[in-house]
Amino acid sequence: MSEETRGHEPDEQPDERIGELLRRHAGLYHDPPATPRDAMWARIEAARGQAEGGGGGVIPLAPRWWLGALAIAAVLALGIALGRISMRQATERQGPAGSPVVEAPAEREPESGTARPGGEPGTEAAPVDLAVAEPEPEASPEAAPARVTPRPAADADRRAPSPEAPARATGSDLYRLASQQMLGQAEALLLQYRSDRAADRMDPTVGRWARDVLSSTRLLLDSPAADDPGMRALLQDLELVLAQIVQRTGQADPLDDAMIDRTIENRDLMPRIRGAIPAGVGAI
Amino acid sequence: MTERELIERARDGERTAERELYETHVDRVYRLAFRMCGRDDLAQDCVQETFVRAFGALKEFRGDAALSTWLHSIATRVVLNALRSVERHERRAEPLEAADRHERAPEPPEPDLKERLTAALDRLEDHYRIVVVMHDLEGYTHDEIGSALGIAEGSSKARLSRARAMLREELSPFAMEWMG
Repeated sequence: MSEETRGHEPDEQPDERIGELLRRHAGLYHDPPATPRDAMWARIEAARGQAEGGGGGVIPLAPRWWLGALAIAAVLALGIALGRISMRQATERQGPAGSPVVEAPAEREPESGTARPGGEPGTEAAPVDLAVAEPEPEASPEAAPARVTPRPAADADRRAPSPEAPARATGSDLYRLASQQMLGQAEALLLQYRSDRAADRMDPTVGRWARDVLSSTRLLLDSPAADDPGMRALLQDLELVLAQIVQRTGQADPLDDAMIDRTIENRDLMPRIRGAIPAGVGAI
Repeated sequence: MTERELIERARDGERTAERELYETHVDRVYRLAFRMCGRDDLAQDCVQETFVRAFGALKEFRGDAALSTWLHSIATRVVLNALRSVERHERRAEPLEAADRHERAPEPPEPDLKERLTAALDRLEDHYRIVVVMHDLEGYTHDEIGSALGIAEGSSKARLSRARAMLREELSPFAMEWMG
């Protein structure tokens, strides 16, 4: 634009005084600093180099994310169920001071998987039993026991402080395991996302994958797993990034991507996720 | 070397020509981005994106309009998209930061004219604000604004008039001060 045209045109608007006011106070509104020319040029070159390089050599992960999501859901469901059992058992052990409810605890062992002789007249155990028997959403009968059973038992043996301790340890360990598995999934997802970005493409399954991990994250945020403040903060940050990825998919916008990258960087997400996953636990 | 020659060389992939074109136009693009975003990091993102897109599409630039016009049409789209993304992002982050906000001290009850002006500009919708910023703060003509935003010159004038009316309304408590 020439200096001639840069000047303000004669204004026929009745609000020219507002225009004058703005020009007079132009320095007050987001006054730009000196242009960081070199820094921005370096960024432009890097971005173009990355796009041209295509992020070669990165091998996309096989999209078996749904297996992990299923397992996480199963672990969560089992954790909730065991938590309820442990609460019920603790109540039963406290004896008759509370209510005249509980007799014949063997009838309520859920491991048997057989129909209980509940519903007998004269017992008031029905509400508790119903809570246990209620099928949890997304529970996976084949995945959950195989992955989960040994660990709580081992922990319970190690601790064994009181009769009710094993059941409680089981519940919290399950939540911890579910968190670790979900974080393993999240790490794999973010790696996949980054490699796709570097290659300037986006696997359409990433969106669905992110949605599933986001659901698991939200489940965990509402579970005792989020009682730990550090874990809660991590889950909240992860929720934010996953929501951004879910929103982004389908309408790729480099600025959205830049914002996602910045959130991941600013919140140290990858190191925190890796720090929360013990060796040996990873994406399923 | 003329700009047309530089463009030709840049089309052939000559980086020094690209750099020269960048040096010629980056100031105005950055200023516009910063004025609109109010944040250096976001403004830099916008500038980066503008030039990456421009260099990537330079082969399609026919030269019917000036390069600066074409560049600004990219820049304004990038900036407006960025602001939409930020808004979405902030809406998403809002619940997480709500607790912090509640603990903050309340705004001073009686802002002066300058604060009121800044706040009034911030409250304008982006498609009005960008016209005010381009015309009144950065000195673009309506012709340039129209080309950059893909609207008629008359529409640019109409938007400016509407935006100023909204500002006048917001600043009415200070009318004595700014009416002089």
